[in-house]
Amino acid sequence: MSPPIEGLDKVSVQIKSLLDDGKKAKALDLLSKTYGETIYWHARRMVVVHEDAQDVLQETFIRIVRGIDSFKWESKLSSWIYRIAVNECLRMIESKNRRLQTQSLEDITKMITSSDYVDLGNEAALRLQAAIQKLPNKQQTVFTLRYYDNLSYDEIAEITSSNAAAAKMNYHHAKEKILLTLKSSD
Amino acid sequence: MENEIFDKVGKTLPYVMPQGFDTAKLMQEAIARENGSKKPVRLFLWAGSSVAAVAAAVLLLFVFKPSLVDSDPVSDYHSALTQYCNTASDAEMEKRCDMQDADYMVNIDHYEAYYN
Repeated sequence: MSPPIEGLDKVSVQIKSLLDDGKKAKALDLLSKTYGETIYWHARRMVVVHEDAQDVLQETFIRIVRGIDSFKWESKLSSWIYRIAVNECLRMIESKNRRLQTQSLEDITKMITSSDYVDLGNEAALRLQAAIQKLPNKQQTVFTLRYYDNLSYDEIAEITSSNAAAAKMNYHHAKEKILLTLKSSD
Repeated sequence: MENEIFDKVGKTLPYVMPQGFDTAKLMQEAIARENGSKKPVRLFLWAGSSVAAVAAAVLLLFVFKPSLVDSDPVSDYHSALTQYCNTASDAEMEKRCDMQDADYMVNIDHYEAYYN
């Protein structure tokens, strides 16, 4: 077994150890149990529809299965997983060609409520999600990673191939736009 | 004040995860799908690389051992001639030498091919 790499969190150490011992299936099982729901919820916030979020998660897992053997362990495992998921989300959004930025908040809210597995009683949360959907893809990604997943700007920068200052700027622009959208629709 | 909506909604989502949705199961499916799709690719790669290796080996054999394709006419000629001379009777040898002396073209060819 290779020596532990400094700075790895407990789960990453366990996953790496299982991989080093040739127990790839167990390593992937632990990975999916640790990060599966986080990635699902990130995808759900980005692509809205459950089935699309499920597809994103499935594609993310397939890419993880393919790439985990060549993962260098120099960056955080969670950042690598997020990066794959973020790319898959953007791919899904592109393929759907939704162009929500130009639509009204009401239309986006209707689109959200017409899909399955939505809590129709939480109107304020619905409006907030609709406003987030109006953001450009990059701002939406950065806002979601910061606001919901509590990631640091450095982590977000690593995931989005950017820098911490740009991530911070994107987050604040996104927040301002959300407030403006909600205010203008009142 | 401006952040009222964020304070009010917090991180609550209007989305629900369907009951029985299991991310670990999705991972199992991803592994199975990958293993399933890998096998034919592996077989194809194995078959392809085997054929390529055999073809390369045969090619190299002909490049470095051209005698397998085209045997050396000079050494063949000499060994056949030596064998013939050793086994032929004196009368037969005399007859062959007379014929060869009379054939100008054969002599020139032999001279150019084997002694030049």
